[in-house]
Amino acid sequence: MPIMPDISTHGFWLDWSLLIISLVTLAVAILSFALIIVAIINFRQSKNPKATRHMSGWITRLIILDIAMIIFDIIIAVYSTAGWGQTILKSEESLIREYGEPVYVKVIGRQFFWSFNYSGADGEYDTTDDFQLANELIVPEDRLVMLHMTSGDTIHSFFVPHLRVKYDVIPGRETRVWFVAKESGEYPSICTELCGLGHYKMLANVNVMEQDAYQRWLDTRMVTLGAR
Amino acid sequence: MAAATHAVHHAEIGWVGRYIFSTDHKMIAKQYLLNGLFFAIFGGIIALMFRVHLAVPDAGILAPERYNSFVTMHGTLMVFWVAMPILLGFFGNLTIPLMIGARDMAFPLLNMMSYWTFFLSSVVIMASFFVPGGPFAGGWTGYAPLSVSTGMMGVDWGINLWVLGLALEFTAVLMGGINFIVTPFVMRARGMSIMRLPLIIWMVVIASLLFMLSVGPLIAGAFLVLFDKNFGTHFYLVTAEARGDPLLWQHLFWFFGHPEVYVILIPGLGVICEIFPAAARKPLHGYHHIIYATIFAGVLSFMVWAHHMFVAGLNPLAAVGFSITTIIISVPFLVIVVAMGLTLWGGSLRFNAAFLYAFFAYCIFIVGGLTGLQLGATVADIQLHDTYFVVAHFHYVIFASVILATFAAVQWWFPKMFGRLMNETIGKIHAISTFVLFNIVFTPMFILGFAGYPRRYAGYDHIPFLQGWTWLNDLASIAGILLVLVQFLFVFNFFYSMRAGKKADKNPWEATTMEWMAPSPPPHLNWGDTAPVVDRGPYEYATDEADYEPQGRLIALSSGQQPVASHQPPATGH
Repeated sequence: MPIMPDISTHGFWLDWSLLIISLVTLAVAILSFALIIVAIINFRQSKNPKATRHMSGWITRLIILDIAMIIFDIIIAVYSTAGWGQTILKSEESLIREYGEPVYVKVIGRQFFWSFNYSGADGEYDTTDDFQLANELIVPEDRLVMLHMTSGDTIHSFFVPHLRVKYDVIPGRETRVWFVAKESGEYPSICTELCGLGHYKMLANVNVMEQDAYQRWLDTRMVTLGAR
Repeated sequence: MAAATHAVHHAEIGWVGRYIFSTDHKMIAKQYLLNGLFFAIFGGIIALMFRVHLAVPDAGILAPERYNSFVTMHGTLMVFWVAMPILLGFFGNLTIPLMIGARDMAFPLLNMMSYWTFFLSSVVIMASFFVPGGPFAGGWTGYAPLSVSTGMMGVDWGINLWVLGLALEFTAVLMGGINFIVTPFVMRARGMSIMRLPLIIWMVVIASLLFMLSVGPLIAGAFLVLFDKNFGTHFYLVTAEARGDPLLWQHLFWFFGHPEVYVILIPGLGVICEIFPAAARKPLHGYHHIIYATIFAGVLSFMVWAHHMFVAGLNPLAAVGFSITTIIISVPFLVIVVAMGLTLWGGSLRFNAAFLYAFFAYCIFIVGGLTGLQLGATVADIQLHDTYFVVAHFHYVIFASVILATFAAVQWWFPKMFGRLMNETIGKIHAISTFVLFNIVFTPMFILGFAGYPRRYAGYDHIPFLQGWTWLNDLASIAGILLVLVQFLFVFNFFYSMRAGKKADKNPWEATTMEWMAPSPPPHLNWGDTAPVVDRGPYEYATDEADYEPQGRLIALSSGQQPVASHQPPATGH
């Protein structure tokens, strides 16, 4: 699969959902096209000059196919709803119960850059120790990260392929996504909702640091701010 | 004066009345077709230009603002100025009166107005290419608040003309739609019961109903775009002074948008249903099943719109419901696809060009339908939303119905338009090359979508993680350019055959439906001094008596009875 390696804790829901549906639909497609090819070879005019008007038993076959489709539909619906419940739908309380205290970052999308706002040492916004990063989101690994996102102008969409995170960023509303990154490293983020001329250049970097390194970075940041 | 009342001998109709302001349904069909073909070529060339730009981004073929405009206008034109006029305007006008045995539409004058309103809308949308700031660049979905703000989008008059053009176009289709719904219900020939209507008629009727029921909210919403843009209202716009709701537009757009997809899909399936039985020389399988499945899918299409918005800030709980309705839609389409396949099975297939087109449309539609499941599953959609996977999926659905089914229909009904046959060899070469190239263009896009390739990007070279897959995108670009170029085979074939094609007799395909009882091309008011009578279902092939039995026959009108243009008495009994 050409899909990017998954470094999130919830990504397997997406990947398995994609894999299962893709494999089954691929199998259905191969079977259908095999039958279609058999049909056009066997039932061409030169081979079969007289068409058969009545075909028996096809209603039964259609009903069987329909039931198979319905069963497959139910599997998809149940699986993807379960996955949805474990990803987007999951409440903040249950996430905190599962992963512990989160790192909150406020994300603001603007034409054509991202700003990531940190609340600083006191954990509260609109205080003097707030700081923001442009086009760079720094988060610790193995910790719950909650992004509260809004837009300063039009709709953007925050997409980090490796983290299996994609959610729209809307002016006048706050949307929320969460992730837990399992591996440190630098991962790209792109905007996936057409937002104007620079849409295709609206990139950001997600820097997942080891917890110690993250803490060190945060402390240095505080010192610099304090000195200012 | 007998001749004056005898509507058949229309000697008094001048050149303008015959070719321009014509009320004849066949002429209006041709006008719609030519107008649609013009925009198909234009929209294709636009696609060609932005694919060339993506293949060689440094060559400076398009500036980024042009790129957004061209992507937007490609979608807008192909859906609203190609699919709508051809699949409703052309199919509906050409087939309905001829296939139900009527002399014209129920409201011929309204029909003429429908085309000329459409023409006006064409002028408006073309004008948007020449205004300062260029044409609309907010995506064919026109998401607010980008679409309401000159400051954010960099387009000024293009926005107004986009909305006005759409409003006029929708008005035109509504006027046509009234005809498409009323005519089959009140003007059927004697013996043509509702359940003897050919499937294309059913499909056009269902599509027109879907359009009529869904378009209202969108028109209202589009005018709010105009208000926000020009009069300082805040329906969608969010500023410091007032807070509109950007999601409102998405709801209004997709409430219309999803039924709209079926409006331009269903008539295409209808064409396949017409051509398959005649090519296979056996009756269409599951005539009733197809009709009920289509109605079921049509009703469901009003309950799925938010599947375009799973990660758009919708309440996540609502996404679950919309996901389930979306997945359920696979069931009626399975019925339709299987019924079509069973029509071929056991047949005696005649591989003419029209059948090849229809057959390839069928194959492509199967892939398009199946890939909808990945997008309908909420959790999988997180990764695929707004990537090339979506682009590939809807091209697989829409290219089948809009482009290939149109080629099939034109090849098939060409004798009823121009009295000649289109060239079979050019048709076959064109069908095969289009099918092969189409797959080379869009199959890679499924893979690119998995990789996270976002759509509507004016360049990908600066995004490191996508570089491993660039060659696939280049392949798609090169094949896409060739795909546009081979379409000129069809254009050539169309105009060449119009002038120099083989003369066609009444029924060159040995088909059963009523239009093949009329001369090729049918005269004004279609049936001359005779009246059509229908005595069996539409697809009576391979019966005990004959290879095929026409659905009806023509009987001479008794003396004193005059053929009339409209207000023909409705059909009675069987």
